[in-house]
Amino acid sequence: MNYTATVILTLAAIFGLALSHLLSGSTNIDWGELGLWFSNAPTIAGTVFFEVRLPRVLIAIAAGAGLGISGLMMQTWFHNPLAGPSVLGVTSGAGMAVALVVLTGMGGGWLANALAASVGSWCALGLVLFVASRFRGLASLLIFGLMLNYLLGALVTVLQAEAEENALQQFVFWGMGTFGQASLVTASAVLILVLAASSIAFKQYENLDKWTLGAVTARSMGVNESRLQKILVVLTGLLAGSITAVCGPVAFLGLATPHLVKLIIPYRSHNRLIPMTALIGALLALLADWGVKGWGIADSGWPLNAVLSMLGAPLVIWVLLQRNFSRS
Amino acid sequence: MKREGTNGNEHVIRAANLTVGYSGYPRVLSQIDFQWEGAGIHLIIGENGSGKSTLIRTLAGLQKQRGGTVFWGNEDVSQISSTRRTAKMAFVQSLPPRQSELTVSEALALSGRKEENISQWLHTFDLLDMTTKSLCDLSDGLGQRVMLVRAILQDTPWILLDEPTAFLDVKSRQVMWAQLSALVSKGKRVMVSSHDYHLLEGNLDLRSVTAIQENRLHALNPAGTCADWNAHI
Repeated sequence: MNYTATVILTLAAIFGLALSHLLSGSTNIDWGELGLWFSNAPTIAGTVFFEVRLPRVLIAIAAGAGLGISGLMMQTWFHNPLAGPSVLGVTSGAGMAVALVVLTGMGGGWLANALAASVGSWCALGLVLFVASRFRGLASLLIFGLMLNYLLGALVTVLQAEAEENALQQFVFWGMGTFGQASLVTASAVLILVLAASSIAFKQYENLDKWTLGAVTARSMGVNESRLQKILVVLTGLLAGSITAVCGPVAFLGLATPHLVKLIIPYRSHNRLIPMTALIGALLALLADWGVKGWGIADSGWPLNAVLSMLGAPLVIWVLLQRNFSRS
Repeated sequence: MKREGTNGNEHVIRAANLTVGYSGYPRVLSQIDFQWEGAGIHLIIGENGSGKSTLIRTLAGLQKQRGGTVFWGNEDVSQISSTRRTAKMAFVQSLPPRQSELTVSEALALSGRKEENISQWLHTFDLLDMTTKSLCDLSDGLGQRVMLVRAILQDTPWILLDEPTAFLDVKSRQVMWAQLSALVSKGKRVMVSSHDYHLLEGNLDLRSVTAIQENRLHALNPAGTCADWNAHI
């Protein structure tokens, strides 16, 4: 199947899944009342559609696309197929920052959370970049990420132990990952951010392709290494930070999406990987949210991160088995 | 676009009081005053660890020197923008890209050349069957051939090659030297660090031979024999 057909098919699947989310739910909507929402007459239909279902679909699309792209950027930059925002501690950095503002009662507004989360992910990413230049081999970097995750997780646990019950409950739900906490405003804001970040990343596709050939060769082909690094850091931090602030530390989307894309299309140039990663990420997120809702058969489903881990972990294991890791 | 001078001077590579090496490590080569000019193959020879790679990377402007200056023509390399540098110099690393998942055709499309031009070179280096394969799935030798083609497609006055033959089989080495000879006969300048120079003996295109011995550069007679050169490294 050619690239355009794959894109169209994926778009159609996203549209179909999004529609199924919008049309179904625990409340039956009287569709005739929907239009009244615009005339400031609060109806159940309007509230459920515009304040529950629509934001949830929008944030799922934004989170899937954004985390997928940030995972792809990190895998490319570190020449490491197992890199990703949650693997290397970037999500934990964001989570730690959100824990700090939420559990100490300093923040709680989504903008404050998003800002804190972005700063948190930049700090973690800065740390990872700082040590990455000192590591040889792919495993060291991953183990560093694992340790960073432990460390930040421990700090969050300490914060939790000290926190008030109310703030704690809010934080625990957030920590399981959810698309259900976004408002229409936050979901739209994150979606716009993801679209902007994706198009900035897309403009770098040639530099990213050259970068895969190794730093020295890339430099000889005109890649400005420090500029490219700055762009990737800012984008990855913004994406992982803002999405984590709204959805919690979402697992596996960043790591697994690029690999799924590479199973679907034979192309490896970033001019195709970037758009397809955004689309497949969105599709995966919408699919996982069906699991959260009980796959359409049960009234209540599983936490988001449980669903994503069950989808993502086998995929990553399969990729590991396919790849001759010793050569890299 | 900037007009290039006609005296050919802008293609001289000149090291002025140059010290190369990595900070924190013993200096590799110091106070080099040397220049390489003219179409042809410029060979750099020396033992393992003598600093060939460091020297050639520094001359290419891809590694920061520890002292002195590298000039391309009259310009300090560190002052040349990356875009202009790519128009002047192509570079092939000694290691093939083992981590890149780009397919051969995607990697070569980065050159911006026309497809028929690319296929021609793929044919020359016997790579036509490989176009849809990822670079990381190729053997080192095949990967290195792709990187050679990539550098040639960059179509620059200078091509700098760091141990390009290390992973190549005998046939590919012959193809490579033959193609480089063909390029220099069209006026290209090729600088190559290599142990594999016996294939070049008596080659008319050999413009200069530089030996690295005891942290110094020595200009050898390019018309000499391998045995003469070997005595100097």
